[in-house]
Amino acid sequence: MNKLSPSILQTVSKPARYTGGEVNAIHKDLNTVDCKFALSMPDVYEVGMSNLGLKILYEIINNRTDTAAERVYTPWPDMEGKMRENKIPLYSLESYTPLNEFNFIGFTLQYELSYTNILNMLDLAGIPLFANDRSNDMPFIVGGGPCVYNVEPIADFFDFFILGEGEEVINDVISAFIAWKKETSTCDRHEFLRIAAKIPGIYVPAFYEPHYDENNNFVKITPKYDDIPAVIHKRVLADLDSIPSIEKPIVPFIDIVHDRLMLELFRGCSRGCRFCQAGIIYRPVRERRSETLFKLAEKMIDNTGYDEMSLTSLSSADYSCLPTLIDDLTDKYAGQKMSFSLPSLRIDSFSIDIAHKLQATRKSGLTFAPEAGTQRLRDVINKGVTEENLLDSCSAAFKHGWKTVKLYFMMGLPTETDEDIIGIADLAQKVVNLYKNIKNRRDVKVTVSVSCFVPKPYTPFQWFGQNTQEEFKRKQRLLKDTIKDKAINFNYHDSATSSLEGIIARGDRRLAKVIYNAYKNGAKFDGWSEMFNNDIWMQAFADANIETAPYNLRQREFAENLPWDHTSPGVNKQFLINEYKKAAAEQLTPDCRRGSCTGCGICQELDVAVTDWGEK
Amino acid sequence: MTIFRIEISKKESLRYISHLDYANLLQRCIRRAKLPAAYSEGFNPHMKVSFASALALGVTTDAEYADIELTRDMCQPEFFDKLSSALPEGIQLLQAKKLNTEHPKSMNALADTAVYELIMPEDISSELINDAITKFNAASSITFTRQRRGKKAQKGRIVKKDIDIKNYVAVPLQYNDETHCLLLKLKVSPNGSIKPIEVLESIKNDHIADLDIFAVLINRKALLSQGQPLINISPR
Ligand code: SF4
Repeated sequence: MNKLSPSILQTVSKPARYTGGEVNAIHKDLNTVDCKFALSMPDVYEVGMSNLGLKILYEIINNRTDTAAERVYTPWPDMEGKMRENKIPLYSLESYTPLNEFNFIGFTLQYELSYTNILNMLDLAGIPLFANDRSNDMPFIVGGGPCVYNVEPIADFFDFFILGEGEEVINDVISAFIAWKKETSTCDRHEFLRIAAKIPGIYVPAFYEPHYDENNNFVKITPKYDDIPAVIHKRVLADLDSIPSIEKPIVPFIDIVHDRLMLELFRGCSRGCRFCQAGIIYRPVRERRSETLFKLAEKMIDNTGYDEMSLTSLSSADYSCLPTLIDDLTDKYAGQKMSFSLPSLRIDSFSIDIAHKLQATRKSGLTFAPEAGTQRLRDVINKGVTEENLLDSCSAAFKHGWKTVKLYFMMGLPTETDEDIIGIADLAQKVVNLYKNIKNRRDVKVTVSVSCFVPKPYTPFQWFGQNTQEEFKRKQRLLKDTIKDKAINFNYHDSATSSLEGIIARGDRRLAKVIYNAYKNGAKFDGWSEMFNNDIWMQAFADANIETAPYNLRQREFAENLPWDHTSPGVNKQFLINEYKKAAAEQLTPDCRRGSCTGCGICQELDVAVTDWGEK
Repeated sequence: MTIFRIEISKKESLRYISHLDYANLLQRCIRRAKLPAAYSEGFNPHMKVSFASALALGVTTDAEYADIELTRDMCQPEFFDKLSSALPEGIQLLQAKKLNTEHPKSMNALADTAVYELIMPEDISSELINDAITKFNAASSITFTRQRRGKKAQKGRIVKKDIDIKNYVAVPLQYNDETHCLLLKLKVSPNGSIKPIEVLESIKNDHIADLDIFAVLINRKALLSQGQPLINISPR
């Protein structure tokens, strides 16, 4: 057990990040369990503690009497410095146990730019960075989360990955481990990995061999053994409603990014936006029953004392029983100063009415995501929203008293022209004018936030060549020059960061060298704009002798094998190709949630079905 | 409407929690305990809980005080048990008193002395400490330059101000060899006070250069009004 001296904790920022002991944290005697599982997000405490998936796994694992789950996040550089100076190895927040004493360390992979933090954390824990350098007494390093649909760039650092929803498979892995530990005579980690590789949803990268041609192009990746699958499909819960969920979330002492309860209404989104990875990888849509949700909400509120709850999902307004659930909750908690919110709003008046009802006490700004500036481009990306929808919603919002609206867009989408960029400015201007007409006042604020589009694996745009940084910058300037009204606030993302994200997102195994080089040269917290250093990364590519353009800028062929084809959410490739073609033809694809199946193939491949408690 | 005055502790496991976070924690406990807490009116209603003092991050205490306003009356044992059972490790409810007034005098104005116990780092010898406090106690005035980050017009700058520490020390410092503890009684008043860490800094500057002031464990043992713990003082 580590002992942290007061002189360290007194001199770092936010020491409560490192001391644990929060309400509902679970403390077990690690000497009495068969398996010790560290759960981590490679980011600072306030970000990691906000992650829904980790909260779920923490409770699921700790429900087992034979296993303990404990948490660890990335120390901020001031603390990292103190730890290195005082030779304090990275430790878990519950029992202060050094990480290398755990059996598993699970990292949730939420965004590519957190990868260097993983290496830094392994190093702080005294664990070899490359999986094949680890000895038998070392923990297994496990990855999960949305980035597993292309983990090739970090494959060399991990022992295995879990694809898809973790609730069931985590138990499969732990049970297999405990059984193996009791039987094994060798303790050879390879032996366990062979067992793990046969569990559905588990990808052991060391057992798959990538092949390249004489020009150094990726050709294919193949399994080294006959008894493991060539393609690993994600795990998915057939009956979400019956699976235990969070009841006693940890209540942090300090303010975290999402400092409220999260009630997960449903998983998946089938609106079919063509740029959106979440829209594919979490399919099919499966709702919880409103009675189940109500009970979960009661338990969480009773167990934590929180006064705020977010009704989360990819598109919460789509929940079939939303009005009933909200009525039940607001009735029950009337007079208790409990506030409920929706994280995302659909662009329609139904959503505004709900938001109005919920935000009776707190009138913060409203956020909409039209994503593209013209109807043509919105059709290309299958964002089924019209200018009329947006203006109607804004008009309803203004009438209810809102005067701040945030609009999210992307630039660099397929088929985009300058007209589409100018369209963003026009749309924002129309919103401003609408307010002036309705209210006869000028005190409106419209924030236009534009990110640089990063094509992601397993989306219809996975073949699309990303815009160059110069092109992004030119479009940003164009938009900036087009926006004239002082009521419009323009924010945009750094193109260098998006470019790097684009390279890693569609990278292959050879990028491990680059990520390693970047880490060695000091890259950390790359997702934090004040910490991101593009020069380090460019040097890392140069030192590894790897060109970036083939990864992010190149338009790929439909026929070529992709480095991530073997770690699949179950979607049919032909469906994605058809969607790309329909995008080019500006044709829409309807939502399969309440309409008929549009053929993405996930339900058939994984033997699951859409669950929606509303009227078909 | 009923107001309870409580005496609570902030123990080791909450040492590194700021006052604001400690206050939030208590409010969530009150909600978990399902006490009928009163809220302010307006856009962002907040729970009507007021603290006697703001304890610095890094300081524990056996004597923190807060007034909690309730919308309906309840008996003391019920209040005590409900709140006690909702408190996590690190906070203990020591006493609770139902106040006999709806407009209690602010505890801030009542408190005149804070008593601190400081566990000194092992690498600092008793001789050094004894020597230092003898000199400290003998001095008629001790100038300390307080440095604070500027506010408003001076934002971004470090503002320096000379103060005489002796003005804030209620009785001479005492040191216990056996426990390696320094006892500090500091005056508090609405016109200003000094923090124990500032006294330590001054001792370091003047007498014990090797003292790592952040390694000292500070605990506030009591908050007094005319020699009495605040909880015993009439609120009227
Ligand atoms: S298989 Fe059909 S119903 Fe299922 S998610 Fe895909 S499109 Fe929707």
